Amino acid sequence: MELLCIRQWISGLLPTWLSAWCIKPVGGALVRQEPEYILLALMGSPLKKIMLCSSEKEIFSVEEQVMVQHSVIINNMIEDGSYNHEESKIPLDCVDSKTLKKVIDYCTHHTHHHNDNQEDLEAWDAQFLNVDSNGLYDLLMAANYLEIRNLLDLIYGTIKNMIKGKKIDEIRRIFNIKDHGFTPEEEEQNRKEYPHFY
Amino acid sequence: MSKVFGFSGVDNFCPGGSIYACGNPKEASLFLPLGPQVDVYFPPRKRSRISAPFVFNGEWLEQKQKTSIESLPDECLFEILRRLPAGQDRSACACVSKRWLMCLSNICKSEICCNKSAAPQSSLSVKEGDDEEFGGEGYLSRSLEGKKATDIRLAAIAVGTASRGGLGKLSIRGSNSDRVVTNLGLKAVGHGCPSLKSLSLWNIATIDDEGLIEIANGCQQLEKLDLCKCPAITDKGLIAVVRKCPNLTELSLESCPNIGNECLSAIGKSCSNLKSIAIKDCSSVGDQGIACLFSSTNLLLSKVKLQALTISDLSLAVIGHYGKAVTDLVLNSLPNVSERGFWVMGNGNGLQKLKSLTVGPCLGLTDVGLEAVGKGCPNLKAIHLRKSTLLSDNGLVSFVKATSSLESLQLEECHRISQLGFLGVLFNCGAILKAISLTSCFGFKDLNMVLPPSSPCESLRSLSIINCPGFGNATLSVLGKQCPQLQHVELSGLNGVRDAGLLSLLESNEGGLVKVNLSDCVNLTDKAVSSLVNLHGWTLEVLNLDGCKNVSDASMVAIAKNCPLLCDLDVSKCTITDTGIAALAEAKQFNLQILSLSGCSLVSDRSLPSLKKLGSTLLGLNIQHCNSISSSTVDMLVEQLWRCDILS
Repeated sequence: MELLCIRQWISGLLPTWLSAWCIKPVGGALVRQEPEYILLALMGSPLKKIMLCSSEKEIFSVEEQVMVQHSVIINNMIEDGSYNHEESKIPLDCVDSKTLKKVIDYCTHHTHHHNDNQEDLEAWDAQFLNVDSNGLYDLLMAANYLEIRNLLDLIYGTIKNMIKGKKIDEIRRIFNIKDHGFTPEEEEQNRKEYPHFY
Repeated sequence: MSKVFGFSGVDNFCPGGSIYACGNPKEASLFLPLGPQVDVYFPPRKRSRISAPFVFNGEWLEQKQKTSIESLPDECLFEILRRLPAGQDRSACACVSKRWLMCLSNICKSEICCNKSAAPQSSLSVKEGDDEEFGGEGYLSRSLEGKKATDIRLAAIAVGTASRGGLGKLSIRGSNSDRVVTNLGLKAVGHGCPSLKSLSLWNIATIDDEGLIEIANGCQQLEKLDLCKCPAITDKGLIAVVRKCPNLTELSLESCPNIGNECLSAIGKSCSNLKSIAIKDCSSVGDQGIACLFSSTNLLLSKVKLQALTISDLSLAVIGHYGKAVTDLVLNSLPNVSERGFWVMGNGNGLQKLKSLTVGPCLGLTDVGLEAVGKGCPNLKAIHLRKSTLLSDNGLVSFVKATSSLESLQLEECHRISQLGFLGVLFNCGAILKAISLTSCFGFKDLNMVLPPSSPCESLRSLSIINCPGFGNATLSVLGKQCPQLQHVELSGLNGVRDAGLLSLLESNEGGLVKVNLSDCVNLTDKAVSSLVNLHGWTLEVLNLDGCKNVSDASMVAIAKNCPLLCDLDVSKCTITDTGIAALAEAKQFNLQILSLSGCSLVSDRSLPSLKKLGSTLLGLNIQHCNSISSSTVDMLVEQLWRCDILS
């Protein structure tokens, strides 16, 4: 009963050209495809949730649409069908729970609030990245692994701003670079050539 | 109780969570009144209880194991660094650590991106500004030698010059030390220096085609390339450069055994701007390559130098036929070239524009060959022949007769040439020859000859006889009569020349000598010098008496009296004393700019006032090996003659 109502509702939502198009070839014959599946496929299944498993074996349940929109890796996994909604969870062994939670926060906020104005989003982003350097690197590695483009750009930009305008000794301290790898002569030459950078 | 001691240290002991679970211990809020949910019995780590006030010290931070940016993979570091705009920040980051430097040096111009700023117009203008700034116009030039030639230095140069005007000229001289330049360094240069115009790589065995291909990809404005002793570079690398750098005008290859014909034919096909090529000691280059190089229609070489190659007569034939634009040709040490090669080259009628020909030790250069060249190159102005042992007097004379525009003749170590040939040249040169120079021609013997009367050679301006032991007074007097318009005379190392000979030369001279170099003519005395300055002092500008042991103060007096225009005087190793210097200083209207007294041991501190007086116009003073001049005098001179460059 429920399904029928949903079906009608969805059919009402579909534009007519698309309804006509709900035909797919199956075994050489053209079979009318149920419209709700098409719409669900188009909308990325808003109601479906997926499970992400952190390195600490903690499971997080997230709306599929949210992750698919942001993470290229997860999008690919779901598209090529290797993910079975009923049973499997996506193991993310390089991401710990705390970071995964933050990543999910980011994706969720940006999906639900993507119509907000730029300033509000930027303010939220700034607040989001108000973590220490360890946390920042963890976020960066997670975003890199999951290929979340806009989070990556955000973090890169933040780190770049941390570098900009600073002197070299300060940069080494901030980023905890203990061994710069230059020989003593090279280091001395650099100091002579660019004294105003140190 | 046992449970407490048996505790292994798990965070959820404290109901509110351990306050040290989060990263930054410096967060002030942590130490404000602890909420009731946090247990004050401290964290389950095996450390002593810390009571208030809380004291920070460094070791606490270290125990926390703060990770550093070094733990990020290279691709992340790359992404961060490529967002930095070109400029000071990039140069600063290049000095932060070696890893950052190498990462920065791998970023090429197209990979730098700017901030996405709110207003699209401003981001566009920032981007344009960056484009211009990156790489610049190539004003800077850098040179790395020996121990300093390392990949890191190259990367630093590539990053550092990008925002300060751009690197235009780079030369790297390798060495046998442990840290050398490799392909990585060249890759950095390729990425960071798009305006590189001139690259010179010597003696680097560790770079190969890959490095050169990186340069080809990145530095497409390259104009000059010079490779010497780079055994790992083969045709492939050079072909890449040739194809991608359309502005290449000068190419020089030396001792690169793996570069051969393929590369030359690629040059023939692709390089339309190449003007000058020099190939020395490349064993893989042969006739085929040279043929492809010259016979191509879109390549017009004007300067060609081929040395120590295994090419044969065929190459010379090709050059003779196709070398329509060649103006300067140098052929040195070509063992497989025979007389036929030169003959064919001359008869090819292609070398119409040849102005200057230099032929080094080639057994093929015989009388017949040279004559053919003389006939075939109507515009030949200068010829320099070294070690042409087969060339005889007849050949030289017939050559001079065959040319119609020869202005300068230089012979070095041509031992079969004697006076006859020399005088034959003078008789037959057709009033165009301006300069003649003989160096180390041992075939000269000073013979007293009676010559037929002939018109003197009015055009000869410059005569230079260096180290030809047989040259003596007789020849000199004949010369004097034959060449009355000489202005530059150089007679060096000629023991046979004595005063009488020089006198006859001086007397016959009508024009007025301007530059006279009589170095190492040990048998000349004051008498000759005095006559010289008496007769020609009013035009003399440069006088060199280096090594003339018999010249003494009397000459100095004469010089002082008679030479108002003299600006360069060299009396090294002559027997000059303080009196002589004083005499020089007394001269009126003396405008001496360069004075050399090196090896004059009789000049002492008493000359100081005279030197000071001379120093008012002096620009260069050489007092090396003047053992009688003390260092305090030298210091005083240096102090007072601040305009003068003093060698001591």
